[in-house]
Amino acid sequence: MWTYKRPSGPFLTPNEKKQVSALFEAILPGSSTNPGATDAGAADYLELLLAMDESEYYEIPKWKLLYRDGLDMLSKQSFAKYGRPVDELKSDELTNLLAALSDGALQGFPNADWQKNFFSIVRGHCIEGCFSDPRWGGNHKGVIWAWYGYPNGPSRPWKPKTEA
Amino acid sequence: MAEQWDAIIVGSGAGGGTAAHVLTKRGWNVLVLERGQAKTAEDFLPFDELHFWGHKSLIPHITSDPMVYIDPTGKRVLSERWWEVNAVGGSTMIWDANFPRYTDEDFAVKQYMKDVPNSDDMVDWPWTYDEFIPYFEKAEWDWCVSGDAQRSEERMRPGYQYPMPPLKPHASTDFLVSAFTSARLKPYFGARAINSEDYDSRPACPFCGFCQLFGCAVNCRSNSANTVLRSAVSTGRCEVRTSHYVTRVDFERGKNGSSGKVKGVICVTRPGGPEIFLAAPRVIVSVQTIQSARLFLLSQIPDADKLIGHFLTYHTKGEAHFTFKAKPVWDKGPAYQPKTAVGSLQLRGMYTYADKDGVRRKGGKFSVYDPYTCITPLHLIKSASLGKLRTNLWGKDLVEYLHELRSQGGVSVSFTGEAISKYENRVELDDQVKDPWGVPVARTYYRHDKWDQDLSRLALDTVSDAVTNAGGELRRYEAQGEANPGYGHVHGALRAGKDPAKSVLDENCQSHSVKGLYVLDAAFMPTAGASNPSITLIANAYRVCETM
Repeated sequence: MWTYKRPSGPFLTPNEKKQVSALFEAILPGSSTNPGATDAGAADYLELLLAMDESEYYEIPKWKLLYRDGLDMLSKQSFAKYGRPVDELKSDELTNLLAALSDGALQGFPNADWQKNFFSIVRGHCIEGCFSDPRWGGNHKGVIWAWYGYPNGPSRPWKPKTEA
Repeated sequence: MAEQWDAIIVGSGAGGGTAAHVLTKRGWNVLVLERGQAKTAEDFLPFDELHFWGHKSLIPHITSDPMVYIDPTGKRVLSERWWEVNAVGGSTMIWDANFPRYTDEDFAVKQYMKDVPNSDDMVDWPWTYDEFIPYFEKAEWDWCVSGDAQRSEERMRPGYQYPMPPLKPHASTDFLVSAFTSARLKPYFGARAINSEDYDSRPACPFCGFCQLFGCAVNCRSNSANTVLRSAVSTGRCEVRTSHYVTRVDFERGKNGSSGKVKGVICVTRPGGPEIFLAAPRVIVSVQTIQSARLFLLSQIPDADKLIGHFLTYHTKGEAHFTFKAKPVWDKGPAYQPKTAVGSLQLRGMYTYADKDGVRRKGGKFSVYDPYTCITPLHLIKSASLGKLRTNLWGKDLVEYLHELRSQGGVSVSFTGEAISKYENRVELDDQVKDPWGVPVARTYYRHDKWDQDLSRLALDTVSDAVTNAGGELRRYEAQGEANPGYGHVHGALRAGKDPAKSVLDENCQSHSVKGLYVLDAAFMPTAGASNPSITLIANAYRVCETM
């Protein structure tokens, strides 16, 4: 059997995690008919992943640097455009910011390719935070799997939690 | 104790395992040298897509053990060898166990290439499909194949049957067979080396969904270790040594330096470790096309005609996904859907086809899947696509894609097609990058001819027409491009043939220039062919080893 390596060194700051949470929700938004990244706790996934090291996967050290720089640059652009941090943007503002990032069209980044690569990695991690096994910290209680219908059908209807 | 082997086999995968089985049955003593470690079914538990596929825990790491690729613009790229496994069993540990045979159209391809530009290097194989048929049959029985040979679109000996019946059909099967039959695409259930029932002391496939690119935790999918190698070791005449990395073949040069006779191999058991010489009168190399060619280069096998590494081929490929608005999702549960290639549906209607002038041309075949049940979620959703121009989806688009997947029936097709052989498509030794043992890695040069790219589009468009006529809508379309940094269907580079001036290996896959040196992976293939290469390379290993 392979063993899940327990994370050892926390990396993301609480503020960074808040921004990741907002970005992930924009990438896989929840609604009344589907769970999204927040329902899945996808940011918890990334927090745990980045607390691991290269013994689980050789790109993890590179990703740590990428997120530290990328989130900082994105935050500066959020303030420049909207006067607010990423996690306080309205939904359409965040969508526009992310669309520009995915096109490599933002200022304040090394170049367009850097932005596209960063976006691609953030998107990939959001999907992992939603669709990987709950043991990794995301996909809380298999909520995304149940709705999607994995590993076996039928897909189950989504019941959003009612606000307290 | 003097160690005496009749043959040393380099590599414990499809070719090496088969060689060990056939030779030990003949009473030979063999030594199998494997660079990696042994794995058991339990090593693939717990099931986890992120660990095994996402974190690439089964394949060489691109950071330490890559291949170098020179793309068509001349740019140097590091390539990840996702199809190579350094473990006992080799790549058979993660394959999809798809076993269609190369048939007449592959053995004699020249007749389909008349007047095709750049096709002068396409050659007919020096054997016929009929000569290979008995070896295909032995391979299919020893490797535990399920399917229905009597209804195959591949030409079979009348009355022949596989050891096991076909895998359970998918919920989409009747509908798809009808649609593809109307379009004259010749659907049929192809052979799989997967147990459809308990067989050979191993269980029937429970359709866990962790198939291609994963190790089989159930031991229901055949690999070299649980079939032929197991049988070889049980004779008492086969020893398998793991952690043995063969870095060159040792041979005695002939008087003029252009020929020789094999003495054995040089290997190391750890990075920086001492070289160990192991003697044998025959050395059989089977470490996957590119690595076998690399071993020939590292060994400086005499190569007066500069052929070693050349005529490397990858199959032309193509992939398309569709959704059916009028069909509910196939997987309504609670019974398990067969997550292995939709019960092995294959399409052979384009294996050859008539071009616009009515001339018969070589094409290829399709494997048919349901993306939703057959592809694990991270893999499928990272490539989310709603059409040719709507790819890498996120936001509302991604949610729309997910809604479609979970509520509508779909289908995906994967094309394997013939490819034009080119001298300049080749393997060399890289002059900069070394692997963790300090050995130069392989460097490949590859471009697909325009003919390959046109074939891919034609094949995808033909299937696309059939599917849209049946109510499908296109969701993903990926045709073959010019560049190819690497693909699992890889052959050539050590071409076999009658003429020593035009081939590296003779008709028995023995080196023309070093006696006693054989190659049994797909490197021998004179042309690419148009089916998954595995069962054909295995059948060839039977053929060569029965008379070696």
